[in-house]
Amino acid sequence: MNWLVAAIGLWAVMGLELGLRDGLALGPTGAAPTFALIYLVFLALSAPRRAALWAGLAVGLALDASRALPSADGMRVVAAIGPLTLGGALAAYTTVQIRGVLNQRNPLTGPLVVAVAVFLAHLVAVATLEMRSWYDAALTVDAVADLGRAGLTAVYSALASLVLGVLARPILPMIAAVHQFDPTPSAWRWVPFGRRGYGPAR
Amino acid sequence: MAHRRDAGGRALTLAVVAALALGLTPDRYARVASWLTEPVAFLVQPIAHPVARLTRWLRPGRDTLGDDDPRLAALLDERDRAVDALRRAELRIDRLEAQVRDLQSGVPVAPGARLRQVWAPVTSRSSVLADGTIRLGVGRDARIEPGVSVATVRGVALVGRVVRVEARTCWALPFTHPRAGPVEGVVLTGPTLAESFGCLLEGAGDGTLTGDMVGEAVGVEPGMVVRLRDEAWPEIAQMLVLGRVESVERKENGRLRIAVRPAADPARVSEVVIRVPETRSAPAGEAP
Repeated sequence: MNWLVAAIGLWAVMGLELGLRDGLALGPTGAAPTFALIYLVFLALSAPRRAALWAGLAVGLALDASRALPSADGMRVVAAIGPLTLGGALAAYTTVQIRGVLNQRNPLTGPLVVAVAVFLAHLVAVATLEMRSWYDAALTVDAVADLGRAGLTAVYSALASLVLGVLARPILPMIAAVHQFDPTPSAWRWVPFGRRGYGPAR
Repeated sequence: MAHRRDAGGRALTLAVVAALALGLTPDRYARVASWLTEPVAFLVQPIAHPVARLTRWLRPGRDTLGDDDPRLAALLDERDRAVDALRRAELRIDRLEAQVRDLQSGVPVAPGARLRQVWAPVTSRSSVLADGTIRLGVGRDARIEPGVSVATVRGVALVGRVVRVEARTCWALPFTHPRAGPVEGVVLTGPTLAESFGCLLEGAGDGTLTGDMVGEAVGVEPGMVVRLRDEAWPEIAQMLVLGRVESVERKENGRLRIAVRPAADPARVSEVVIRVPETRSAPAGEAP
């Protein structure tokens, strides 16, 4: 796996994640597409298993480190490194586990995987914070509202990934040149690590 | 080869266990978080900020403070600042009178607080939007202090409290966020502070504030300005504009319940003026 190119990609999507979400948020719900996790799903759909899991941890860590969770009294920010890191790892693991049975030529496959992965990532994050709130007085979690928001975010991210897939098609040959992946007509059949197709277990 | 694969697997397992341990570590022991957040911010902000600016340019926020005509907007700004100064002066007189009473009864008095104002761009928001926090483009380098500094629109309308300061950025929690807690304000029904009624407002979760008027409030109508008067907020934030009354309804117990639309939507603000207190004793002959 070309980690340098993957890191540059992560840097770019984090820019979109933090810069664009405001404008794309669904009113006061706080739900907006998460570009970093969409990127993670695209990586995990074709990367070797272990590389995908490391990528999941890295993407989750970047999201955690860019987060400022207000404390229960609203007077400061509490540390929240870990919840989305674990969530990212689970999202990558799930994608790796199910990719072998997916029909990746179907343009709806990618968005469906994105929906599942994004929801799982947020589920793990909410569960971790909820568990911590039992003994950490600095933290309060409204788990039901957070899960509802996670569901909306997952659906919205899936729709965004559908649009991104269409937008990405014209630039696929250019990316292929530097990243050695197969510029197949299907935007979802990414093979960014120089291998065509998927083996049974990687 | 198999040995290398095992080592890689162990490293991955260790990383997952470390993430779980960090995620479950109570806040007071999780100092390592700040070592990670600042480098990530250093790397990500240069791309996140231009994208955020582009987004706000395409979808600009509106506030109820100014006007599209720049000359009229400047005049309105000047008027707002003068009104703000007047309200603060009135409040200060009230406090001084209270201090005189406190001194007479032996209660210690806080020294006078001065402030300085620092302009800052809003560079991004928390990666989880529901957190509500906004990142501002100045930090310890501009001597911003957490807890006591407040973000404002043009130094007139309150946006929120600075809750964390990093090397070159800081985080503010908008006062409209439910986690910011209830906020006490006054609705001005006349030209002086004497003609005002208190209210206790809480974030409704949709960007507005709702709450009950304190006591028998009369003459409260939609469109009236609501200002901050809350001892839980720093001195420098007192009398800043919270917003305007959007609706008034009478409850069964006769009390008035109001909805307040903030003067500026914190989610759409692209730049703020941070008020930072500079606490020192006022020199003789100088008004604090």
